Amino acid sequence: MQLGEERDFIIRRWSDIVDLDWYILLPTIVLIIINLLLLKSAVFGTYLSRQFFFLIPAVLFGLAALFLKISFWQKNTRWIYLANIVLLFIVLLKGASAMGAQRWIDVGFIKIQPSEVAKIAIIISLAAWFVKHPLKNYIDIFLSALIIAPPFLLIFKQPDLGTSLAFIAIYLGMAFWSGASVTHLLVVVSPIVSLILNACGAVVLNMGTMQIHNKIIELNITLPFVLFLFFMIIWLVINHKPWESPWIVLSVSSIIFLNFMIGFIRPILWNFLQAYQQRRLTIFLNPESDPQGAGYHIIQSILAIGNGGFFGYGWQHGRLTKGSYVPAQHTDFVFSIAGEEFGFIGSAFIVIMFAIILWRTLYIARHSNDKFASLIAIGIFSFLSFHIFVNIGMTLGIMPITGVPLPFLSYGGTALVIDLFAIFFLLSISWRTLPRKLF
Amino acid sequence: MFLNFKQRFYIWLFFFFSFIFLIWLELFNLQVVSSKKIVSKAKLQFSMPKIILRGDIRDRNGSLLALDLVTYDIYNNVDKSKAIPEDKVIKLSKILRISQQNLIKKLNQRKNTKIFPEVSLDIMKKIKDSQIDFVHFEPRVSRIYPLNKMASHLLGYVNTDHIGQNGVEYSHEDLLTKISTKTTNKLYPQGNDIVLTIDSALQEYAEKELIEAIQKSRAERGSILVISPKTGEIFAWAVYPNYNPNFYYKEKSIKNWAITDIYQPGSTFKIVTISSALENMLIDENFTYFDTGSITVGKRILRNHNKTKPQNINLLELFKQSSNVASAHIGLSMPPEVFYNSIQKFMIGTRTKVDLPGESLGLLLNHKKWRTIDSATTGFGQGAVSVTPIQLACAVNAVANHGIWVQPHILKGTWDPEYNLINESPYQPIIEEVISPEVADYVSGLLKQSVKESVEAMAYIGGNVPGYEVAGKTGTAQKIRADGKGYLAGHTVASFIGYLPASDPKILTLVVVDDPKTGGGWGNTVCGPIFNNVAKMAAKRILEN
Repeated sequence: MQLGEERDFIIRRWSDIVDLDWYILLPTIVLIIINLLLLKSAVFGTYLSRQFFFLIPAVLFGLAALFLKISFWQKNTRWIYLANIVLLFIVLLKGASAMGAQRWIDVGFIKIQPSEVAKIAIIISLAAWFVKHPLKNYIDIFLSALIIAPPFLLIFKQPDLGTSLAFIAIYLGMAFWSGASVTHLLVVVSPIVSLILNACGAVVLNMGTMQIHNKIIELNITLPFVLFLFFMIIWLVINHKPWESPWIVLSVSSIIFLNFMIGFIRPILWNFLQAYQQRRLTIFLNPESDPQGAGYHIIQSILAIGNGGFFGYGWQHGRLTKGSYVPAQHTDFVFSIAGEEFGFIGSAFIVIMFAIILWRTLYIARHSNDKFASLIAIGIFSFLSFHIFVNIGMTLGIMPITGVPLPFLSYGGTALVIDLFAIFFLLSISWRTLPRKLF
Repeated sequence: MFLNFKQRFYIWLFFFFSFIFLIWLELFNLQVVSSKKIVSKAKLQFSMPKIILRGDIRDRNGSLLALDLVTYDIYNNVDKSKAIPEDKVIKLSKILRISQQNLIKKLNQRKNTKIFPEVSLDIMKKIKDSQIDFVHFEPRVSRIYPLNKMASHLLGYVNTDHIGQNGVEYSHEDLLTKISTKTTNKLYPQGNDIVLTIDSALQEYAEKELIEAIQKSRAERGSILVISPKTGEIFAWAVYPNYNPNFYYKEKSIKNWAITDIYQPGSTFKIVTISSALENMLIDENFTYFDTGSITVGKRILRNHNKTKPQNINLLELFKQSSNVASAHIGLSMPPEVFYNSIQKFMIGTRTKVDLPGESLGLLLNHKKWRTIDSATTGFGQGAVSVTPIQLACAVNAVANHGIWVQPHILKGTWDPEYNLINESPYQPIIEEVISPEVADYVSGLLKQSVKESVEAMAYIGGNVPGYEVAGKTGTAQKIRADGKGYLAGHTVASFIGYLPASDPKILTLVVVDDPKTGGGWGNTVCGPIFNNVAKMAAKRILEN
């Protein structure tokens, strides 16, 4: 993989359009058509015409991504990053609120959601950083993590848990691609894994009997957490050979200490979350515990999808959808309409469409002859796959509710613009940096 | 362990495929393997009423202010394998009063298409009795406010999820949605019916008077509060601009400003000043003051609103002439800390805890930040104090109620539909002794005497309620500029507060009109007539019933 010549994007003949990467473009077009069909079907409000209207700026921005050289983005990274931070600050100071969160900037006729824009901005910034400073050691990890820290904190403050988690996914994906070893990633991911395992242990404990207030007992009973720590220690010792240098002993033991501390810090971190975020995060383990309250979304979504059966009820004829049982059916739970109205055939087809896009993105990242472009492709891959798996997993009841929209299918102007921008960026990368024979 | 590029690519591919596989597996599980179980569960959900009706809202005499109405949407449920009996189609078209062709066209569409919207329970029963089985029904609930704009700020409205958003719909959401054993609707579970303390006839009259007066004086906004001094019950709460809760989404302003916004009370606040000074024994009943028509505080000169001759005035004359100079003098005679604590005792600067949402704290500047001029101007209700109308009403109420402050409230109890009775709520309003009964009664006497003499001398318009002795006070406050620096010339907040019968108060009425453009903007000329009419009506409705 070395820096190659960029191929300019010029359409001279109609046949040039055939040269576009249809593995990416065709599934996208299909998904957008499905999106319009699903919005027509959703019962709440008149979102179809608005989404249709948003396609115009989306395509315009997309064409910009297609016609601009990839080096253009690489040269202007710092301005993109700065503009992004400024936008997020504007949201913090003067943002418009809805449903208890301050996420939008009201510019009169529309509302912009800068946290969506931030995803692309941070992918470009991280890619430019990793090209110059490939990950080699823990200090590199620390420095590159500093890049996502400001936007991450600003978005977490809004509050928007889903998008903040998407940032972590993007970071991990790109860091891994840029050369981090498994051990590095283990070190970065281990606090998160410890956190989740520890929290699961606590939830199981609290569901069983009464709340146990003794932190030490809670920590010890959490078996998966302890097992994870055990294997991590073995892995670190084997790979780092701490008997060779006291510094390694120090760093390895500090990582292990950090992971142990997570058990004590978790309740404090947990209290940082809004009450609704806490309930949403845990309810998927047992939605029947509160069928009319926090569990309502998941139960109705699962019922709608299961009710669709193999062939579905037919377009616009979903009973749970039309009976407005399924909440947020035009945004976060849009997949449940597809599940009920198009059945297993339709929803499996949608998953295939997503899979083709994702597979092709990975393929582009693998074969691109430009490192920056390759990193961008992997960033987009992480971003899209995180959104797709978390959202669909949520509607199926196997993931917590984090308020992550489904790319192309959920209603949302800014999200549509950004998703299409990413797709056109991929087309541009594919056109410019993929060796011809691989087309 | 460093991986090469190819290995990393395969690790990604592995994760990618396992995720896709997981989603497929779960989709297959839900939609194929356990589909039957889920479909039957979904069916169970359809058969159960997903509807819990909100309770009705009634006024103190039991007349309806808000109710839930259930209608039914008719959906296509044709079994395609069987022919539809023609006589039944004819019958259905007759019941629904639509043409046969139209109906047949709709029946030929797919299952679960809507055929007809919002029919009543009677029509649904008629269709079911005719054994028409090729349609099914979905209930739909709407909240109806039969009196439209009336008492909109008290009632509030419900959003598209049928959750209360303003007024008592918000503050008594729990009571309205907690399933009651005694319900008016036998088909669906229903929350408690609640009864408010307001009187619809009085409320309607007050709103009519307020809107007329505001249109006549081209004012911005206004409010009329009628409360009971003894119990804190709210008899009427008219606020303009008002809105129609049936169509709340079309309205520009749904703010209940009598509780959310503050204004400077002006001369009506002199009641608090004098009571405070008497209570703290800084003046006594024999107080006199030589009023030259102006008083110099620091560099500023404060004047009376009218040019009177220099004269000796007592407390009665102070109220009659509404002397700013004498009030400023009394304000100055109290140390700021004493004055501040007294005002605070009147619950100004704290919420009255009335059971309506969005209450503002009011504004009372801490005495440590007072300059000398603030002591003087606060004496006649400008300076360091701003109140919400309900705060002022309650503060004066304490004087009317022999020195005892009472928490205002709007909930009277729940309604028993079986016997058409009100179950009075065991709710105890907060009670606080603010000033001694002697001082309160003395100030009440002064207010009564001043109104009586002024009305006889044709100086007062307000306070002239035939058959009743009224204690009251006018107020004409200058409006603060939006930036808080200084006052707007020529813009006032006119008000009148009064209660009757003066010796044993049963009804307290506060009229506030913000920025009237006629009648010189005086509290007396603008609000006096409204006060008289509303107080007369209130006396008729509450005392003579």
